[in-house]
Amino acid sequence: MHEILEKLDEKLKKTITQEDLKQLKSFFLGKNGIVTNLFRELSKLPQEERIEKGKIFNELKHLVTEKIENKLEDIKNAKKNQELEQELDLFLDGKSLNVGSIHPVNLVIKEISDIFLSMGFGVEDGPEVELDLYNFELLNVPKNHPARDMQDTFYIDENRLLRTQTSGVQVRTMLKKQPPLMFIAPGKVYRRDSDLTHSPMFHQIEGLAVDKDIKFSDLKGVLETFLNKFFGKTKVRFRPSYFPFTEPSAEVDIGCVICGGKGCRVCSYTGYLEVLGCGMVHRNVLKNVGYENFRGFAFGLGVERFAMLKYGIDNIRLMFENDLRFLEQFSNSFYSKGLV
Amino acid sequence: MKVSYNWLKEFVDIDVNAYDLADKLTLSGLEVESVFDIQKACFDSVVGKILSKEPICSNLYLLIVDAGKKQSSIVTSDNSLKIGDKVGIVLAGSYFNNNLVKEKKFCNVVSEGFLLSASEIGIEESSNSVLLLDDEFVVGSYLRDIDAFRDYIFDISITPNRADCLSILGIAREVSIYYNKPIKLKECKVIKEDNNFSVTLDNDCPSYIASIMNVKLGQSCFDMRLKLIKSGVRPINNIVDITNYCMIALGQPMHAFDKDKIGTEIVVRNSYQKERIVALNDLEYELDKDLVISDGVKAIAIAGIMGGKHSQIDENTKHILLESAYFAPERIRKTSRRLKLSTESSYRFERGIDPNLNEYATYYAIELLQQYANANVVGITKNINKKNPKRIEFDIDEINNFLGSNYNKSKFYELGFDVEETPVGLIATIPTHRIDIESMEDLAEEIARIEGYDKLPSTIPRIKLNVNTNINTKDHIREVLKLSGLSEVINYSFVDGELLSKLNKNKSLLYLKNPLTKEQNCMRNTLFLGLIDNLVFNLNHNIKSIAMFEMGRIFDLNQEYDALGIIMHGFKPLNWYTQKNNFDFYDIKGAFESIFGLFDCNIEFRMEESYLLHPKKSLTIYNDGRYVGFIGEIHPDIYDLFDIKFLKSNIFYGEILIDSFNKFKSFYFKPLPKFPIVVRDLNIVVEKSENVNYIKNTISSFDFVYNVNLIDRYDLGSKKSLNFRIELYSLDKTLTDADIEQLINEIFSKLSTRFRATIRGG
Repeated sequence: MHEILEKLDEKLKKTITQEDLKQLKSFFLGKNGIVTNLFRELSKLPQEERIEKGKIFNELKHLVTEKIENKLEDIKNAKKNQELEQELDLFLDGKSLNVGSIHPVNLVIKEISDIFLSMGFGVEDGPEVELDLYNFELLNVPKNHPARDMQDTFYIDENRLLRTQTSGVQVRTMLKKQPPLMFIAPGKVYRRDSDLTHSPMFHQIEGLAVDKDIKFSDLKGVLETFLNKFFGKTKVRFRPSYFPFTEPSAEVDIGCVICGGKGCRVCSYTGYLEVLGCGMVHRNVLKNVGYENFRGFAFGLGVERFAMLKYGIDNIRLMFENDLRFLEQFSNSFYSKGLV
Repeated sequence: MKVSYNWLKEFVDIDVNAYDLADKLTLSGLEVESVFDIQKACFDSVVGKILSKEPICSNLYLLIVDAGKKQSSIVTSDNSLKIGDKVGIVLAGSYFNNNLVKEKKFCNVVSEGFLLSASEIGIEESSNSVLLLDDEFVVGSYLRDIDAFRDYIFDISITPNRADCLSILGIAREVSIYYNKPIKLKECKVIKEDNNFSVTLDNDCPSYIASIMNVKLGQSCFDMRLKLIKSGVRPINNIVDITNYCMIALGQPMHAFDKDKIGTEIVVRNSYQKERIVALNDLEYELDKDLVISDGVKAIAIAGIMGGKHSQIDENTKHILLESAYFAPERIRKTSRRLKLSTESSYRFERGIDPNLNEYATYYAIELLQQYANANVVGITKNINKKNPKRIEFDIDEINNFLGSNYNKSKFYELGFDVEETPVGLIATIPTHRIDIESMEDLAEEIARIEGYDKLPSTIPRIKLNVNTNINTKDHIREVLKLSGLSEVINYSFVDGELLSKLNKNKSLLYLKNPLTKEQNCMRNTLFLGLIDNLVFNLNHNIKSIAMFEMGRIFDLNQEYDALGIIMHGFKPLNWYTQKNNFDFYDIKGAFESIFGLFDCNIEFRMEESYLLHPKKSLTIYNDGRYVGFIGEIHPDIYDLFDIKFLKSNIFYGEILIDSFNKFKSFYFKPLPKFPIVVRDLNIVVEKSENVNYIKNTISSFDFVYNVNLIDRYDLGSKKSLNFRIELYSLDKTLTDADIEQLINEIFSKLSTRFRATIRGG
């Protein structure tokens, strides 16, 4: 018996792989294994001896089995430990999608649109080459009106121009549909003006609501809600102003997002930033589209200005230079997803 | 408009400081863009008196100036200065503009300071002489202690509707309403008509007063000169200054003719065809049915805009004819625009002055002329048609309902209008200077504005409507392309028409009538020009991996379309886990295919030539049989047109119209297979010209094919080898080896009949 166990220990020492151990097991415990053969010979012995030897053999078998199983455990552990020792260069960049970017103007259009969508506004679209009729005339800006000086216009011919505002969409929609109406119209607009702070093309979002009972206070409520959602909690100030297509008209200021209202260069030390123009739709405009007994409010904002304030961009020309080093900074920017 | 705070106080008492007043004006609709503190700007300057003057060298003079505490030597280039003149002086050792002033040497003469011009104080844009001070000022006293310099200038942005605020009086009227203070307007003596001089009116000039007087020409007093300078008007001589002074003070533009240079009557008429006039600015204008002032013989002024050179006031002028008139705004505006000639006068007339102001303004001017130019009126012709003030009926409830407000009746008595209660309701009589007030809405604005927009409540409209949440397909395209590694750009919609016509010769282009530059004179009919520009820009900034897209309008003569353009060039971004890998045709194709995958569409690529692209490395794209765009590698000729001659190839471009991609793909769920899927590779050889896409479609058309993928492809002489990995399955059993072999054979036999495919190596 000792011989067998010594032989086993010796063999176990040399065993490294699981495969070897399997062979070893069959050498001792297999069909023709050393231990199995011992049992086979047991039957030839007289009963008393048989019982005694049987006990010893069983013990032997048990010991052998146990030793082999322990070894198996050791081998497994060794293997596991070996695996646990394996290292990765953990601080290499993860393999990622190579993500591009969305232009900041469109990021902001989406964000603003979603705020208005959540308030029940729809979205309308229209042509960029617009009729003078829709861009000016029906909006209470006849030819030779002084307000045309406020917007230097690109003309295609007598009757067609590049829209200076997306208001043409409002006119077209009002001519097509009956109130109640409530929508925004985002898009490109064009003004014949190019310098450090003006681009001949920029983006606007205009909004319109028309119904029997629209009030100036509704306009205030909607825009305050919008501005507080876009800029976070902010001071909002309505100032009387003038636009030919609204009466009363207002310009809307927010507390300067740069200095928090203390006064800085960006806000010309006023503590306020002008961000919106708005008013109650002029009765002539409503008359021009055939609306009787309706009232409405309208507003318009420049998307680039909102984008510049939101991201701290100080030069409008960056917007249309399309330098990838600029654009790619927006690859992780929030692209608004649905209702806010 | 530039408004002096002190001058304003001459018309109305003001209890608040300049900055509070500025805030109030801004919040009431007269936006104060800046407040300039003159007192602060004077720093340590003092009043000096010139004691002597001698030339030292080229155009420079040495002055000895009594500055109170001491006499100082000052070098100046202003040769108009005379001994005895009082001037503002900044001495070396004192501060000006926060800088320590130092002695300076000119032609070896030390100047112990300098003399002030209005522009140095900051109240004039450019000055051509030193500011002459009032003789009364005490030598040595600080300018900052003198009332004329203890002033503020408001720069107020006046909206086009508020023509009535283009004067000190106009602003004063606003202030008087805000603070409930009376307007202080001096009484002027009415002068009786005497009919020696004939004035003929026109429909567009219903009122014209001509006053003829003897005058003594000279320099205006300091007070008037400084007020004009503060208002942005350069003083000239006492006559011209007084007309300008009245215009700034009251809002009535006036003009003085040298009476001895004109005829014996005034006729306001339309100009004759091609009638010419040389105006005060020395330019000759050709008129075309413009309103002119004529002396019966010739045009002597472009009405309301500018006087003629011929009848200009000069140093010899002894008699003047003072014009104070009203002209129809549209006429002045039209002429001013056509002649591109805008003046302080035309600016006011075209916006609309008070039609009844010219009589009072005449008397106001005459009193000033009497005081400062020894004027003696010899005749006055008053051809006046007064306009009646508008009367507007209004209903307080209607206004409150319109604003969402709750104003009571008493508030309406404080708007500067006469309000009377009549049996039909309230009626407001609108003073003639408020030409902008016409309707209920205008009155609503007045009350809201005067009370403050901030006092109005904020509500949310209760509109119930069915918003059709039309899903924005562009948002999705944008997002898919972003996630595919492309960056979005936005370019101007106008491009260089010449360049564009070189690209696509046959298209007719939509040109702008008044472009800013030749490079932006034409509406784009492709997104290519912008994207290739962006590519060049980024290459020049050493960016080597470029994949960009733009979505925007393109234009033909009568219509516009939404388009998507994609450009790719260079190598894909390098990572530690990727090999250097260039963008190629299949990247651009894949980008478009990932877009098509979003939509319910039926895309077909065809081998047709496109104007921008390499004839053998490009495809056209059709959706439901309709042409929608093209993709491929840029044609070699194109490289020469742009700044990219250093590149010869490998720019990939594609453009599609996206209007037809308006419906997202909808589909029904396909049940998952119950029995195992087996995978087999089928390697076939076909002619190079065979369309891989057709072959793939043929394979997937078998109903036991779950999926098929081309996993390898290479050239074999005139043929190509294609290795398809095919997933097979059955709906009702586990496929055996024999089944699989049979199915593969079925596929192959179809491929061999349809595409003359052979087995690789077989």
